[in-house]
Amino acid sequence: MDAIKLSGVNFSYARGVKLDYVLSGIDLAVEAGQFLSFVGPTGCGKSTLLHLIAGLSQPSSGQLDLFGRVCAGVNTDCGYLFQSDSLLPWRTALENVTLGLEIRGVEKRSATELGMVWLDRVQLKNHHHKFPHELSGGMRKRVALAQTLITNPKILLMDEPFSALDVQTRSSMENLLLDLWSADRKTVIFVTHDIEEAISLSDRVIVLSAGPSSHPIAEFPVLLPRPRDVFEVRLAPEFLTIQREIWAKLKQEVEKTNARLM
Amino acid sequence: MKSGVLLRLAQLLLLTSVIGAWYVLTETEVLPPFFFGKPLLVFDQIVVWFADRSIFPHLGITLLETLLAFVIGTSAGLVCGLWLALSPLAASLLDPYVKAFNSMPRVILAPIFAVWFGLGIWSKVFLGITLVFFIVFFSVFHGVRQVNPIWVASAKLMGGSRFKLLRYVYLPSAMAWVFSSLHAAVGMAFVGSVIGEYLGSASGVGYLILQAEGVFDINAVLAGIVLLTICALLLDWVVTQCERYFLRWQPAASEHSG
Repeated sequence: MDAIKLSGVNFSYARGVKLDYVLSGIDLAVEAGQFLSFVGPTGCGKSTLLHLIAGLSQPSSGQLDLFGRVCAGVNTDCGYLFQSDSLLPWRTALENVTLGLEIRGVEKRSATELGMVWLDRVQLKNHHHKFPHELSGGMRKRVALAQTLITNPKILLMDEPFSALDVQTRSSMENLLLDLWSADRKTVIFVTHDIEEAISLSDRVIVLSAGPSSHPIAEFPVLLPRPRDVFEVRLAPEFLTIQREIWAKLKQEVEKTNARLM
Repeated sequence: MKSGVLLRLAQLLLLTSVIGAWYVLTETEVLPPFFFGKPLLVFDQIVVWFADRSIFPHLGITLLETLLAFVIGTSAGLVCGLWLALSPLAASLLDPYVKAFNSMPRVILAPIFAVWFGLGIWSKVFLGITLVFFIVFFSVFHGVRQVNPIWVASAKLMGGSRFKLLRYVYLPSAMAWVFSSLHAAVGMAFVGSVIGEYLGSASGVGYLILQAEGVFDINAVLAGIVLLTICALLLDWVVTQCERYFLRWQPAASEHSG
């Protein structure tokens, strides 16, 4: 059974006769435990795709199934790591991590215990009492990661989560993500601009066409062995081959986008 | 730290020089004391009020009216602000009426409230509520509409119902907006009680001021004003302390630039 299945999904913000599709004709199946990345030019509807899978937006037509069940509302099986800050500024790091448990009615003491375990996993145990504005950008991302994973979602949706971080912080976040992921291999949909990031993390990379009416145009399996280290994996000759192939596809789309925006 | 002390000293100096100028001008009768009062006599009046305890019932009534107006007006403003911000249908239905009530000079309602609620405290409390309510209401209303949609989406995915979203996202983020409006609301609550007392009552500081005005006792009028100002400052200080506690998660202003 596929974890995620999109059949003939179209999406448009407008309603009416003349529809201007953001996404059109998306057919996609993702098996459970797969780490899938989407790359595509700016404005190709990558975030919209994640919103659809999370059930935060509904497709204009087509169907979404998660684990064989047709979805209509918000999918609480999904954890979502947003591009920008999603931490609540009035809650401490620990309180932010336990937010999902509190909302689900978990008793305070066991929520706090589990929260500390997760803060330890993202190496922030000693910062549990700090408010978000007292943490660095990388620390805030790690809190957000713990916050997303603590409720044990079956599917993890990530929308360019590390794009605002500097290169070193970013690589260590990527390694941390791979570490945490390898523990129970959730299904991951990862959206990024960055081909290298996509390859080094994923089992499968899909290239989206330039918008509007964006859709998948090519896909590449990534067979590099795991566990991987995102620094080292980039030196493998296979890595460079895939990177070249993906860029050849993506380049045309980027040029189309640029031509449209100029 | 040092510049803070200097600032306080400068503020004190400003106050004493204004009072000093007032003292000199009225003693030399450049300004007629009959119209401008004399600082020492104003001070004497306050001392007398406290010494013979005659001020306490009046001050108590005014403070009670003010606090009731403040608490009820703020709570109602918070609840209605949240409700209208989260219910677009109700907001668009009520929009013209809210605007109309807000732009109406509400002091004009005082005589009507006196007829409806009598000459006791409630006519003043309701006048205060109409003043406080809109200040808090508008800042909560606009504040909630600016809540980061990512916080909402994120809480929804965690399984948040409407009530949970209200409790974990909307209400705490509205608190920052409530507090920013409370300082203005404190002053307005006093305006409500004093104007109400002024227009018809048998007790309260506003009533005292009206009585003094009737006999052209300008010193007692000024003494009443000074007393009200001190009370308003005290209440404002309490609001600031609560604000510091409840909004301790906010970065200090100097950190914004860093």
